[in-house]
Amino acid sequence: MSLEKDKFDKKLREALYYQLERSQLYRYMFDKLSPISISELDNIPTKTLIEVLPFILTDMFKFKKGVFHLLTYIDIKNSASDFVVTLSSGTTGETSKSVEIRSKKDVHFIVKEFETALKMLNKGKEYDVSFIFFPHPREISQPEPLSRYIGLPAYPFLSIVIGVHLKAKEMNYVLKNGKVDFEEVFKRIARRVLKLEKNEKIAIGGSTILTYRFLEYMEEKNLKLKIGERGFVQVGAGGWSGRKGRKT
Amino acid sequence: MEWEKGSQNLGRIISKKRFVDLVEKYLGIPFHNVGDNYGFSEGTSSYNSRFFREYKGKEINDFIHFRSENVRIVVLEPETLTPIYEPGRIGFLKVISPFGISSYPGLSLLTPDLVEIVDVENNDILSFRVIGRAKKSEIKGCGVKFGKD
Repeated sequence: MSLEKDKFDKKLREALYYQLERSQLYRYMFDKLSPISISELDNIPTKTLIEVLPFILTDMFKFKKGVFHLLTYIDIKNSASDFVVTLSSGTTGETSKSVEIRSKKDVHFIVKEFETALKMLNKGKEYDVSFIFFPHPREISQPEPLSRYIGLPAYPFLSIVIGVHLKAKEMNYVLKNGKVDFEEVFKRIARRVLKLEKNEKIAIGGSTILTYRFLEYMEEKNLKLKIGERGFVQVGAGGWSGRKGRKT
Repeated sequence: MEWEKGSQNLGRIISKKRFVDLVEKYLGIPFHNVGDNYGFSEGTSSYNSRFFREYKGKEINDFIHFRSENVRIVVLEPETLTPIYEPGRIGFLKVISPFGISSYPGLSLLTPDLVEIVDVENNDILSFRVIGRAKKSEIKGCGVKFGKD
């Protein structure tokens, strides 16, 4: 058994006991739906356990005033400073957002996971230069209106992970006050590409829709660059359906 | 184009193939250097991908997403909600994530996203393609089946 698998198996059981102890909702679901009992947990193979564990639908995290408390273990009023409330952006254009209360340690883990994933194309290394079709993280790190119902400041999930999207020594956020000027962005990228050192890597991306619109702009104007293997395009946060966020 | 707190509306579906064709033609960046990051805000992990024109001899023109070592993936057949493992089959994505969930019950989550299984090793799903999202009524149906299990 590999060390990684060992670590996962051990953590899975720890996390399951922890969740069963603290979450009334999950304990109820487990007792009602799981084909195995709690006394069998230590002896069941991990593969089987993964298959049979009852699941919570992600849709259940969509904010509903009466049931919100069932989806956290924490008495947030007493330890608010240790936690961060995150909200989804609503990829499908639905108005209800999902809400998760996360410890700061968990947020650190999530950011690390994103960072690792987003460096995959560049063999796990940070890029040298990036042009990012997202606003600067500080532009979207204001508490959202839903905060007043939750009783704590709630932030877009994206504002937590946006800082590691296309992490580079030189990061250029191309949205200013929510707007992007494609002509100016093209000129900036073209100028920077000309100055790229032989071993430097450049990444372009961010919002799928805005990156796509930028590519269409280049097509309309017949503007071409030859960046080659030193270049990467990395998008994220959905948007392939052509819509992102609330209905307009 | 404007960004309003993450809200954008292009009014049409983006073809992944056309997206990557434009990257190659106008930025001069090869298709294998293009990635799309998949994740969902209720979860704790991130599933980056690489674009492939072909994969294992089959034309796909799509992104293949890879799981991290900190999660395990189960794909559930949409009608029966039983686990499936054969490459090429499509089902709902269930994610088991024991890390990063100390304050909420996020250990075992079912997403409304439909994925196609790509790489599997000893019934361990290592990669997948995102096919789409179930309609709201299908998700509700899933909840009903789930309740009856």
